[in-house]
Amino acid sequence: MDMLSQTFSALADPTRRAILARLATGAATVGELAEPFDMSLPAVSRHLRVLTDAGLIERSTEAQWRRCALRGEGFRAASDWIEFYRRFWEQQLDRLDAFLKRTEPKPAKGKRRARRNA
Amino acid sequence: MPDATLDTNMLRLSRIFDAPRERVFDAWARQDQFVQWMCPPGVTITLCEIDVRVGGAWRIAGRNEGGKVFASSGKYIEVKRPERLVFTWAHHADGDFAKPRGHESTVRIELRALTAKTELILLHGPFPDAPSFGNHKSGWEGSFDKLVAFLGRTA
Repeated sequence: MDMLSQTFSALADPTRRAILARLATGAATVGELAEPFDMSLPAVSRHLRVLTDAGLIERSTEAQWRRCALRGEGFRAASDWIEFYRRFWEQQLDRLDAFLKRTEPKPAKGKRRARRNA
Repeated sequence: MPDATLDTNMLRLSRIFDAPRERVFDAWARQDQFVQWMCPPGVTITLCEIDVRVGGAWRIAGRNEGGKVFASSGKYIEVKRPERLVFTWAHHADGDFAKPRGHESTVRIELRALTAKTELILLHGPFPDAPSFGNHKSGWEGSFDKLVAFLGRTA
């Protein structure tokens, strides 16, 4: 799986999003993260592993209590993706609108126009 | 920049067209029509094949103004004329269909009838498990306010 797929896949889980929301308020230890979720430490650790692999968080190794923190670049890749397609589709819908106008059927008004290839 | 983009589960755009749903749907579903508007200005389409039926594939390749080539492909997941069209979407590496596809996403087009007009809602979901779309919605909302604030701080 490429990195962006991994990022979006990690973001698709509500528990992991809740963990990220908690980390948005500041770095936290695994124990602190587990507290509000009624989840075992190993279960939380598994989620943290997924988030780390997806580039969304980083875990410091220096401190005695390993703390997790958000990683800005991971989120930026995801929001850049959405931004790119927002612009792309806006432009496409403009073109679709122009196409529909261009190809609009002329209202049939009884009177027939002379056939060109007659 | 990171305002509304992350507080919902996916990209969402809507547009009202002055045409009945059937015409809007056919512009997506019929190759001869699709090729006339799909792809940004300046792009030269070198290949456009769409097989609009469930499980059918689509492929588009071309070259942009700068000469850079691209190749995209996907499959139709849901085809319901004139109200819904859902398909997967991914780019191939180096603009080459022989190369692996990158991140796969899903595009969902919903058409709603408004008397003589049509409202088109386009949802482009970044998740790999996109058919389960609706399920993501509740989870995203709310929990992302803080992340958006975070993005604002670090942008």
